[in-house]
Amino acid sequence: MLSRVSNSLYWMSRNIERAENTARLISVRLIGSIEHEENHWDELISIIGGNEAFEKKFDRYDAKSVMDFMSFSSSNPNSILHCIKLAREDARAIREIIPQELWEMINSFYWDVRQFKQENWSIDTIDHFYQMIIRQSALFQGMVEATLSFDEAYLFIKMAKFIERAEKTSRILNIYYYRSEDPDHNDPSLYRHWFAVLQSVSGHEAYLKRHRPFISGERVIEFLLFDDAFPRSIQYCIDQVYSVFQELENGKIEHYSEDLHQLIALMRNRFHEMTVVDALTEDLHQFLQRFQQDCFKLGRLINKTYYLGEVYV
Amino acid sequence: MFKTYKTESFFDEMLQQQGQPRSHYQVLYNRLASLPHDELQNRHEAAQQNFLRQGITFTVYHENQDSERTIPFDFIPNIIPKDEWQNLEKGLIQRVKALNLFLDDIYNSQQILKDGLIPRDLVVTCSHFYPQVTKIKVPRRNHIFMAGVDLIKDDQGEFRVLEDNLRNPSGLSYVFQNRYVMRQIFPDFFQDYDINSLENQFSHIHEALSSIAPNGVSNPNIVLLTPGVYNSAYFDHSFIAQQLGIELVEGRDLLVRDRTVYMKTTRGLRRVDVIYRRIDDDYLDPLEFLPDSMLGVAGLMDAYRAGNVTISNGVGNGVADDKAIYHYVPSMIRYYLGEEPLIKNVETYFLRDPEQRQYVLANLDKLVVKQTNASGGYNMLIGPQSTSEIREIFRKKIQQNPANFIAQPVIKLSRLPVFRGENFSGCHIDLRAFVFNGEHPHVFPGGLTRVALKEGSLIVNSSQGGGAKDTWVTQD
Amino acid sequence: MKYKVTQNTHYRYEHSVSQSINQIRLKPIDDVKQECLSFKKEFSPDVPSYTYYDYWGNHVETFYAWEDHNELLLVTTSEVIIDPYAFINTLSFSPQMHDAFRSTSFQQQYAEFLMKTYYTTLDDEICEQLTVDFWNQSPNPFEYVKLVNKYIYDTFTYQPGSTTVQTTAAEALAKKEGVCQDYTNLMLALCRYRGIPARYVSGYLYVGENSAMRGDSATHAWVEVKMPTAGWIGFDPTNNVLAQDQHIRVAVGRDYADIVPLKGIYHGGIQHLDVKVSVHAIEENVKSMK
Repeated sequence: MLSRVSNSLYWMSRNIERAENTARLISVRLIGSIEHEENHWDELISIIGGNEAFEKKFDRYDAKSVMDFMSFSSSNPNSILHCIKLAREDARAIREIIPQELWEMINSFYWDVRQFKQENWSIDTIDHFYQMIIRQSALFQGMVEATLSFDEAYLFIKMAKFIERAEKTSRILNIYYYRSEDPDHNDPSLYRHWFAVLQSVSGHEAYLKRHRPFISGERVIEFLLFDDAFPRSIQYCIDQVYSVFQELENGKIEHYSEDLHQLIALMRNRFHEMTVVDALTEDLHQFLQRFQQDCFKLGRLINKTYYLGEVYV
Repeated sequence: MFKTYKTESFFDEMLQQQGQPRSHYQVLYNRLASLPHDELQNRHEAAQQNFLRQGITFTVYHENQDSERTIPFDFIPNIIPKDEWQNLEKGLIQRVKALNLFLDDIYNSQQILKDGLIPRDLVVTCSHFYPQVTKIKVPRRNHIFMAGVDLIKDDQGEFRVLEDNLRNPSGLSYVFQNRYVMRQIFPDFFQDYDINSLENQFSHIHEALSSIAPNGVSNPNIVLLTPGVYNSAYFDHSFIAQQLGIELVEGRDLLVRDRTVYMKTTRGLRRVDVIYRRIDDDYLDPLEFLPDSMLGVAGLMDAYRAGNVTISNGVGNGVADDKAIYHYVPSMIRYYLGEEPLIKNVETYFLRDPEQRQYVLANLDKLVVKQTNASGGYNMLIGPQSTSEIREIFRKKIQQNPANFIAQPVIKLSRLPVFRGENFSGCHIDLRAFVFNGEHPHVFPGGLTRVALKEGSLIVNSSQGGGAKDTWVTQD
Repeated sequence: MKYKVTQNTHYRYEHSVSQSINQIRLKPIDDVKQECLSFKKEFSPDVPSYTYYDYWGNHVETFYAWEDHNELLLVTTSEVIIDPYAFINTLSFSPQMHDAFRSTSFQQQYAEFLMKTYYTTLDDEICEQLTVDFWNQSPNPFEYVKLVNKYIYDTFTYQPGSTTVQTTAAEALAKKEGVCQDYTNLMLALCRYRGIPARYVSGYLYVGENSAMRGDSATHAWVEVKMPTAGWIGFDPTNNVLAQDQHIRVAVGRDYADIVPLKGIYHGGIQHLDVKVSVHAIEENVKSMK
């Protein structure tokens, strides 16, 4: 397969995943703000690392501005519209590789998102939009499973999805963790806070099944970092990346893939060998930031290993 | 619905002067008459939606904004009876054969220039003449793998060649998509017609590409080189690559090392034998053409020169489809083939000739003036539809640089009905026919029928309000 | 005259580079006026190279320096004999030659060398105004070229660094200064305007021990014009002389773009190019054996 093609598959997948994660993040905050006055809209911008760009455009972190910025703004490279636009461009660049139905799905998706931007949306109606994004992303994943051959192309899509998820979960935790410093279980605002964190990664139901309605910061963190069955826990995602990589390379380690193998194995082992207590003792922020740096390195090594993008600068 | 339809003084493909359909349109005419108007309207809209959903769009640049548009589709097909088509086929093969011989001659011994049939300066100072590719041994001496010949019918109903496109003719994918949408949404229209199907065409095209592989390599690695997704013809590139089962590559996917072209894959470098390129000559190789081209591949011409890769269509073909050279194509046919041209040109005035220039300048309001190095219907004066201001601008331009212009009489392009909601109106059409050249020449049945949708307009280009129709060649 | 020309072309890079593809036109022309006895090239590190002759008859070499490198040295050595008796100083025009000069067939045959190119495009009015007196004064085109040669020499200030390889005739004319390439571009424009086929020549200049000749002793550029029945005749506007046995020709073309001596594309850091040329007269009064 052409390196550029795998690059497009990789970014198409990451961008759709990213759009979905952003939609869920806002939607949860939006619903939460109906019952409770919310003044922390800036957190959402911090999660996507967009404070600088945001402040150039808006003076206040109010709900409407944050939603506009995260959903439609062209000055935000991670806005939902921009992610879908990029995903569509990548899909277009490989439309002769992917199934026609998949291309048409992404193409329509893009037109729907654009259509919404042009309408005069209000805070009361925009949740439809976020639900639509989440559904379309699910549709995308379903079509990938149902229409793609399980070959190299499929594996690149899968690898990208799990890297994006792992990174997003770690970013969410990194920003939302500060409020947990008070260990009082019964503080309703804290309960609500951690419940919302779980919702932000669609994890509340899985969590309840496992831990029943006893929500504490430590348990939520453990769940999001180390759960071995929840599809958005970091450990689960990294395990997936590891197994996709094994499949891509037929379980062999060649000269060109050695560095990549080493990094993925290291990231994986770190999660398997640690407990939530270790992570919290070390300082969770540091732990998460190191993980994000590893994700960044991982992206670059994938690039180098499979000639994605320019190898020679 | 045809009650108000007027053929006026034009040749109408469907209806005769008295309003009676021509025999090969009779069945379709009856069917149209039997369908309620609302249904036609709904199906017409469904057709346009279908193109958008499939993402068959082209990009329009206007005032620094780009927007994506579909090419409007009209459901009345251009039907060409079998015998008429067979004559046309012969004429097209003859023309492309002569043009190919011309290119081979120009980039080798230039015999036709030595024999004085074409003024030498028209060729060697043409901006599409590339000294870089002289004396290169092109496999099978094949410079034109794919030609797009634009045909029109005059008011007598006779086909004439309006333009040859020997560089990167686009539009083939639209032929397939028009047929696809037509079948999806107007399946009943095909009843009682036996027409040429398009399914097996890509095997001909693949064969043609394989047959021009360098050094007779069998099972060559063929790629289609595109400028990328932002190119207005990107859909064409992607569709053709997919249908041919070949890799769609961009310049950055390729590299040349020691005169050999490779593509970069996730498993290392893989050799490339044939490049069906859809990038203009100037952008192909920054080492030998535009040095800041980001679209091409450094060293490509060196690999081409060494005979290690086929680049198709050949480099430098623009010298044969230039508007000034067009005038000499009938002479080429006589010179190289010793035959009379089967399809006529449109009469052309050469503005560098003082006498012809004088005539043209005196009759600007009656003629079409075209710039020799422009395409896409831009920089064109259509005399009868122009204002005196525009004519004065052209007069000045012509006087400054007469050699840059040619003029032609206004051709009364033939027309076909176009659905307008309430009724049908007659719109001018042309036909881009595709000729493939490998071991044997092959004419694609039908082609792309383009229609000028603006009332009275003669410009069929999609960038300027043109639309498309399905094209049928009957088999009985 | 017999010359030995040695050129050291030294490419150095700030950071290591790879995938470098280069084209060079450095081998002296071999024709009736000049015989190229030998041409040797040495690359270090050693890299593969391939040759062909272009449309204008120039020898072109393409080399691929693929692996990482920080510098590349190319040494080319040529031995050339120039026949001093192959040149003329005056040309008397017969009426037949005048007719031939004006004939369509002459103009057609040399159409490439009469066209306006990127470097030589100049407004017709400017050309007319600059040359109307010279044209009227000259009994024939050859004398006209001489006057233009002198005019450019007199009007321009030789000023290395004032222009670049991208500078066109029009730009140089506005500044009235430049180097041999600028003198040459303008001369091409003014000859072609009068229907005199003219081509760009790149080569080496033998400046001798105490020569007053200007120009980088390294690479030089001048003009050749075509007169009916005569061959191509060299004029050097930078020195206001006819180009004869001190001018070693390497490549010809419509303008600089056709004869670029060194060009390349590579991946990596910024390039510093250092070219050193030495031209030695080995023997005088040697005639080519051709």
